[in-house]
Amino acid sequence: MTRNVLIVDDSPAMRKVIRKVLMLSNFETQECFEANDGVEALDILRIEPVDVVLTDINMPRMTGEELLEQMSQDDILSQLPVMVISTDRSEERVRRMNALGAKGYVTKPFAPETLGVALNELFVEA
Amino acid sequence: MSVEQISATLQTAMTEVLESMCFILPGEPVDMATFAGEPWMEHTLTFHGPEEGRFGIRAPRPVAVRIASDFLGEDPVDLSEQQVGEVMNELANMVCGNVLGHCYHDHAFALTSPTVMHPVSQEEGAQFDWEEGVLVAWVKTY
Repeated sequence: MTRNVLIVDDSPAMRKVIRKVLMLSNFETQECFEANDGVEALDILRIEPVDVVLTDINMPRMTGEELLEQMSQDDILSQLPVMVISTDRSEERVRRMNALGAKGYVTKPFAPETLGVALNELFVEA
Repeated sequence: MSVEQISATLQTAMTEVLESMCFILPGEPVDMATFAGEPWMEHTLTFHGPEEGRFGIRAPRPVAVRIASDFLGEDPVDLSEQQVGEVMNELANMVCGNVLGHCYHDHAFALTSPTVMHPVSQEEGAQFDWEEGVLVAWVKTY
């Protein structure tokens, strides 16, 4: 089954790498949307049929943590699986993001195969 | 934690990031005369949390282009100056995050968006060498 993915990261380089990694992985991606921060992400989520959100944490205007908070307050968006992709590997951050509803957490740097595996696991669990 | 203890993890962090994201493995140091006359690129950010400080990475411009090429999977001649800068920004972000993760397992940090440092600093730190280039990373705490 193919999925629509939203990549939220303020680094265009990282968005490009994630997009490439997804294309090469066994996770079947139909459409890949991109947002520079949480504000742009919410705009896209309100109009596009996104199946899963991959988000960084440290971003201008609205962080990944704030994005998760906003999504958790919305009846529809709170149902969407969110995977965090961040350089922050601290237990405190992982706990906080999980508490806000994140379903997966991948730390940068990551081996290319890691992302596809994590995404497939996320949908198997769902 | 002292800046010396944090600095001790720089080498490990650079190795993990360059291996994972660019498939660059450590190797014999390149002859620095290769880069004589070449400008260097330096990107820095600040981190805030249980420790406050500044972090930076720098490399000769041709090396930064090579790293960007490997990171993005693009031919070096197709890369814009902006793309090379974006990759150096992301590299700074990842290496710094990796260093802090090694030093402070249970504490979250906020990292500012990396910016270009001009002129390039002479801050001393750790050096990652391979046959085609060199990357320097440094950290200072306030």
